[in-house]
Amino acid sequence: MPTGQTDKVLLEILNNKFQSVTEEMAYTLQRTAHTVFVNETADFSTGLCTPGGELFAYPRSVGISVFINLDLGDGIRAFPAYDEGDIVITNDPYTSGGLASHLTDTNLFKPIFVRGELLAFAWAYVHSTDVGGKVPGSLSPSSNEVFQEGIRVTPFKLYRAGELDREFLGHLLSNCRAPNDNWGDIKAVIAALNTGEQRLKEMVEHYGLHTARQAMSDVLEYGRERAATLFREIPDGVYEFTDYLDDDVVTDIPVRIRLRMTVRDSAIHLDYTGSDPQSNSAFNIPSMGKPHPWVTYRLISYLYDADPKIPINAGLFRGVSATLPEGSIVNCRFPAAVGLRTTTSLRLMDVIQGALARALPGRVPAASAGAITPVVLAEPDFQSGGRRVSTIEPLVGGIGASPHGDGLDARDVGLSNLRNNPIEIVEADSSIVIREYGVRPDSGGPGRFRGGTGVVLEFEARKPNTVITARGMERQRFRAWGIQGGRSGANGFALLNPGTAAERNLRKIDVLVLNPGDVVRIATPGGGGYGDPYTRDPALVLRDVERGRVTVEGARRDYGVAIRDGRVDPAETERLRRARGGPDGSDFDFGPERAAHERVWTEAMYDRLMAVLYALPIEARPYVRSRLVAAIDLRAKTAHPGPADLDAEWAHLRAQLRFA
Amino acid sequence: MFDRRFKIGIDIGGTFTDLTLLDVERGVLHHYKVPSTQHSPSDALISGVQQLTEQVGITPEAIAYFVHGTTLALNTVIQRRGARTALIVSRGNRSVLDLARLRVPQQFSFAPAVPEPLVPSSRVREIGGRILASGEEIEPLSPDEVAAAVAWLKEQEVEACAISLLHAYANPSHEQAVKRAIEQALPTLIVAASSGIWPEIREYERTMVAVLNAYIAPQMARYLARLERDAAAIGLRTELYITKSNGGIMSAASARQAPVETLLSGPASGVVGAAFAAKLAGIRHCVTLDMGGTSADVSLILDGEPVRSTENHAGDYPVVMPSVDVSSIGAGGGSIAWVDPYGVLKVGPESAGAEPGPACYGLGGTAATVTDAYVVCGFLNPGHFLGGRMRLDPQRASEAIAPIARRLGQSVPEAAESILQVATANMVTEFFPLMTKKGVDPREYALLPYGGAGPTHACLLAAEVGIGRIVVPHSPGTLCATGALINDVKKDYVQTFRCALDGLDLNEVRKRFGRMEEEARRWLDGEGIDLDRREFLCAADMRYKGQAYEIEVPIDAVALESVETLRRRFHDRHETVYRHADRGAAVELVNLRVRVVGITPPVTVRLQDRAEGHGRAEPKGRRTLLLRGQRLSATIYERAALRPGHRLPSPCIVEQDDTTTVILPGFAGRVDAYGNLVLERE
Repeated sequence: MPTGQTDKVLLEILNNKFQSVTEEMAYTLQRTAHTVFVNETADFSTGLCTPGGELFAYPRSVGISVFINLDLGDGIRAFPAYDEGDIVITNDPYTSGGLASHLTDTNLFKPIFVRGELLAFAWAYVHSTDVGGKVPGSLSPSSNEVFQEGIRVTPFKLYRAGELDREFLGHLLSNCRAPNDNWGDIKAVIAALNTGEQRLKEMVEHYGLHTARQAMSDVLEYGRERAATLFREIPDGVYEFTDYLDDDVVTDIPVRIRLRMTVRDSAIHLDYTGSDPQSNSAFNIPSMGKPHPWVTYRLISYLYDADPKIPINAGLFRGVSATLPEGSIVNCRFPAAVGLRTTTSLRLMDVIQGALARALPGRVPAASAGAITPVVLAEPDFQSGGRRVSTIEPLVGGIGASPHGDGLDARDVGLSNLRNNPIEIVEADSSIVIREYGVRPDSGGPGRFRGGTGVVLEFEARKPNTVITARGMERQRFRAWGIQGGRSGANGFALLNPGTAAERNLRKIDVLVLNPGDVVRIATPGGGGYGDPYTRDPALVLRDVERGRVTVEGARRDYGVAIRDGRVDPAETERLRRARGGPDGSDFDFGPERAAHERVWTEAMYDRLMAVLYALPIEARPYVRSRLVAAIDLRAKTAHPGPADLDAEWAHLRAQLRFA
Repeated sequence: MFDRRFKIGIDIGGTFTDLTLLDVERGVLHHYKVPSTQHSPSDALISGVQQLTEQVGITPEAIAYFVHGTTLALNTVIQRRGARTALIVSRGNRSVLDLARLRVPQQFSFAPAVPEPLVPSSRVREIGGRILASGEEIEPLSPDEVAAAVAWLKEQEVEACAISLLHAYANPSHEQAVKRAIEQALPTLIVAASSGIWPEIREYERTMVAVLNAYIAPQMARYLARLERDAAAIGLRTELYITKSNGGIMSAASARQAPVETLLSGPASGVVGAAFAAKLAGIRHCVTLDMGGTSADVSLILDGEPVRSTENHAGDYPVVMPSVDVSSIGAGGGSIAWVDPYGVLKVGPESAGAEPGPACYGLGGTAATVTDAYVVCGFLNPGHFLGGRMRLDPQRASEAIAPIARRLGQSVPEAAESILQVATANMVTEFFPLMTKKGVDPREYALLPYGGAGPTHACLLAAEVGIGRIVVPHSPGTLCATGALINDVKKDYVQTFRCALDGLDLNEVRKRFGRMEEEARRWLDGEGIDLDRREFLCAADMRYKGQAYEIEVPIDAVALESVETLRRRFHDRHETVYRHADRGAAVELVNLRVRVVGITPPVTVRLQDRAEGHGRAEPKGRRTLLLRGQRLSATIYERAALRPGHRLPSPCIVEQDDTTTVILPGFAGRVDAYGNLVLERE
């Protein structure tokens, strides 16, 4: 079966060693980096790629896991030739073929030569704390051009034949708010690249150039074969799935993500036609039309769960292709802003997971909460006169329930494997008092297996003019879906001064100013449930009540379980469960908000809208979109508009517009 | 009057209970092994002492010093057999164990899993009253709420209770009040308050210390009571000492109070024993490799001292108290080899364990293991395993490997060699990143292998890593017991004291160190042990403002002369550890640490008094070693017959009861003055 040339003992050995080299690079980077982003949240990665730009080795246990199939090819081909000792730096998606996907990710790569022959490239990136732009930290949801997001570094040789370009470096750093941190982190990346280069050269010395080169190609092919076997287990067919971001921050209109996944033998095609046009905010994904990690990543979970020992390299994705409409949210055109592409990518993960669930009923879990919200505090420092900025908590929701058990509470899968901040550290570093930080009862989607609960964070300000920001507050409108009879998870919310006369629903927090005594309560969404909640073992429901995951009322309402004096009341439970009748029989539960939305915004309506929008120039789409959506939503208040109404509205609007 | 000149160290492992008896006057160590008795660990210990003393010709009364290492606490946690425990926390913090630090282990999975908390949240109770990081009380403790909590506790039918209130490290008064109320109402309940055990900031980690302590305390108390009774029954008339995770020992009374300090003592004693062996061999820095049946563990010895870490785990749970830093790099002798559907050879992570064990044990195992590959490749002598107490069956080893060989299209010996190569590659894969994480280039260090398979695999690993020197200690199978015996009395103290260096009150720092030293002195006095001298080692955890992690900076009187000196010490240390320092940046103090060391009288092991060996030792035979497709004729030596000065040209094999050392081409061996085997790259 295997097509490689390397014998199978050597293949295992060299594959392990390649991976070991990337992990050593990662630890070198982590040890020597300056900033908290790198040390605490581990927002960095390393890898080794072929001269063509395919990553044949990637760390398994350290750093960000997303970029396994990142294509370095375009970045590499930005230069006609390389000399030994060259190191290229870039953070610009549009000129690096999506190698970097927002400007804060500082990417570097270095050619590895053996006896004058180019063997491979070592690659690494770090998330720089700040690269300039309109806000500290460079990331703002409301940016609408990449120019607002920091200095763009198109692929540039920072080192030429071992010689650092100090002029360029000075120019680069002078555009960043924390130049010392940036330079410290870049040095850590360079140390990692040098480690990779040295170790790979040692391997060549030991095994020979020919063997090493052959092994690079064979481990990729081995990855492809292993993945192909697993992809082949998915029945051939076309699987469609849709999900939404609540909005794009600059309008209230939901952002639609539409996927048509076609499986033929071991080939997977992901067609995102029907997804919304690129937004006028920073939620765009610069995939550059390629099956980029951000639009394919969730497939790794299917592969990993089917075969936890699968090799981790780009070969896994050789059989995966994608259609990404130009100018869409999943393939934005220059100069769209891209800073918050992570928020969108979480929903892309959901649609891939949903399509897989349609293809493999009974094998795929319900949706996870799908929101990452770093709650950031900037309070006045009375001593220095400035502001002290710190992250209170990186909040996430719960994980979707699986066919085998409940989802994890207060955690999320995939991207956001962050540590939380201890309450004691937050309070020692700031003046706020955390009044509650814990699991959120009744937020996990009810099911035979319960979705993971969200979390509640409640804190009190003690200084005047305390500023809070919280980007990425998603799933306040559209819920994490339940599956196989399981119900959707609860939406997230944010309140100011809850339980008082001054209570206010904050919805999404952009910038919030607090004064002493003000209390903010943020609740994150829960994951979806799996299977009919009325079949959940009442003993497990009781346990959830005892452990604060479900309230007594929730047990009755969502599970049909009556709990009296700390015990299950079997007779009453029997009665409640019988009274409901059978489950409603639908595969997915998206929650009432989405059902309401889709009563107006049907498939056919969206088809018409997309047809209109994609025929327009990219710059005209947001305006037309908001006008048409507003018009249809207005009609929906009194009637049941259909595609013909949209056509009528468009004809009306078009008549007023010169460009269309 | 008995001649009480003997000291004994005993380590209970999963398979064997090891004993080391030191004849203090003569400077001679006696080693002994008996099979462990899983259900009642002290049975093996007692019979081991009886057999060993009988063999040496003394009675247990001659033993004046008895140190014991037990995995009871760790096993209790791993097997979740601990006490039914309750937890009392501050209002709003009931999820502290559920949230932990959020991170999940399998980041690629759709449905990752995390361990269940040791205390379910149904047995966690919140209580009002609030203290801030400064120690300031912003809400008093309510006596009514305390009374309600005590009443609730009565209903929970628990054996133990942990208390962990927010910022108790800065102001323990609320925790103390709750503890007093519980102890008054429920005098038999074991109560652990976080501030009393480990007053360090970060509520989850501190809570875990208290919870672990409460969870294992009842088991530990019962175990120690039984052991003391049994020991007295056979005539052992001495205090019992217990080994600790930090590489020290404490009295049994202290172990009852703080069993959490014993969680990682097993591997720690091994490393202490290895450090002792390294010292005898004149090595200051080395990497240790403890390879047994199920895993291979590595650790570092720098400047003769085991390196410690505050990021350790007991099973699934973090332990932030300083412990000897031991990391697993995977494969052990029992690791199983298999071929995946694509024809690729894999080794591990499944292990055949001790039962059924490798196929060659003949105990019913049929899977091919690394040990089977050793047998086929000639690394092990089937007739001399465990000193001949267990016969290995080469036929079964070959039969187990045959299906793998067929899949690989190789002969059985070739496949066996492939298994060893892949096992070695797996270890190296883990080894290099681990060393890089610790900032160490292992090629500059010696390798000190121990455990049953360590010396067998050492040359393979060293050749792959590029390590130039291997030192095989005299008795590599019983280093844990030796470590127990030579340990000093040690206890660590921490006190969080967060303060910017600008404006730091050094008098306050001195005062706090003084109080911690005073507490340490009182503890040491209570341990009732003969000490040569005592040391108080002070350190401060410091960091750049805004950094998430601190580094430990040793503190002496000079360092506290001025804030500037203290600051310089931090920058210098940062430079050493991370290769850079930002001398203009703001620095803050986070924790004060004191480690008290009661140094026990040194153990003097005499140089081998037997005649010097000259040239080559007398071989006891030859056998064929398979290596890189070649058949090599290797000389076999008996370890006991080797003398200092003997040279051991490769390829050769040194056999002894507790291990087999394989010296492969590329290395040359010799015996040093203490009987260590020193293998050096040619």
